[in-house]
Amino acid sequence: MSLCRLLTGGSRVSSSSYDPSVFSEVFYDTSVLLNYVLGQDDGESKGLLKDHSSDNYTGSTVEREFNDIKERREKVLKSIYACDDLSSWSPPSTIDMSPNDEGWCADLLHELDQLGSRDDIEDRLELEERKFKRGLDTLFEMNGKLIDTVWPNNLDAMLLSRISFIKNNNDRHVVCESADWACSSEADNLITTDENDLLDQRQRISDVVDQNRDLETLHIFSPSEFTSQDPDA
Amino acid sequence: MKLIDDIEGALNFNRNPARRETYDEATEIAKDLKKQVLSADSLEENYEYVNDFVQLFEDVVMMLVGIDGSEVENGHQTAISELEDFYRDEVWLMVAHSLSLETAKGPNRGDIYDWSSANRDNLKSSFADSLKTKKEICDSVGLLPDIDDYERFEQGEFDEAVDEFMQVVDGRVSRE
Repeated sequence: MSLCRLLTGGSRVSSSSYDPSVFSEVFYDTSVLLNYVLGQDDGESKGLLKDHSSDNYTGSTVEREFNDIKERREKVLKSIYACDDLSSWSPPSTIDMSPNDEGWCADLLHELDQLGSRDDIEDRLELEERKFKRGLDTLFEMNGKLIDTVWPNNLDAMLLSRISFIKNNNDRHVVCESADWACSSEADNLITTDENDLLDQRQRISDVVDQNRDLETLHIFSPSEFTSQDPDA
Repeated sequence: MKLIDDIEGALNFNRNPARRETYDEATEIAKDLKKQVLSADSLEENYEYVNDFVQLFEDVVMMLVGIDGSEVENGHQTAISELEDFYRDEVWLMVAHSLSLETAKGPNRGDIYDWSSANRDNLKSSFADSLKTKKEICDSVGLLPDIDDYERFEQGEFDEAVDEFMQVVDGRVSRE
């Protein structure tokens, strides 16, 4: 049993290892925040971030990663804006596009291709940039922001090395930061939509966290998995 | 500035502050302004600041489209007035100092250069805090969008309230 976790809130609904036990607090991965800002899901991210009663937290890796994505994509938007012929556009070599950036960019180009006029294209690009800016403000910057960023107290280097089976370096740090947060929190929920790196490997991740931290485990859920289990939602 | 004045005037008289056409006009003005800033090498360094301002202004006008005259509050007037001051006294002044630096001539050129350069640097260093303050003011009176407002606006949902309002007005006028 965890020595450091105090279960003072929420309601236990199941003893199964992959049901949420506490609904009062969650820790977010970047993927959920992007889905919220860009409306890339059917409202599950918004349902948890804005409408659910849980307190929202994330770590410095996620905030930095979100900022980096925003800056990269703003550069992409500017580059497309400056291009007169969309069919000849390609990402500038100075932008290090991630696979997710490439998917977003392909969807956007497809959408732009359907638009009739140059004005419509410029308006659409402009709107995308405003969404990112407003998203960053809403999540992290303004009064009444949706998320509190917690800074790691005791990031476990051993844990970081033992989860090297997670390919993405940022994802490894998010797992470590969320485990660190869970040690001093009522809850142990990491919320993500990253199937390959996190959701598909969650039992293995939880087992390794269990062996390495003074923590019962770390529960990893998608937004819909989490909210659908909440008896008070 | 004229568009901001027009909106301010409408708010002062509790008229509909903006329609879809007002928003379209705001986006056109924003695009023109940014293109002009980008078109001159001496002004290009101001682009990010101008862009931040015009995008805030577009967000605010977008939200005003969904507000009819009967819903206007004092806070809306204050927010627009703050945006007008911000544009005139900080955003545009920054651009004006860049123009001065580029065009100053004559025996006092050095003094003008030093003065404009110092003022522009001061405006740049305080810009982020000023922008955040203006955003907080606008947000506190509901003039900044939720994330899903962008999609709702694109789908024309903001126009419905105004259309319904106009149908009532038109109906009343026609019955009279």
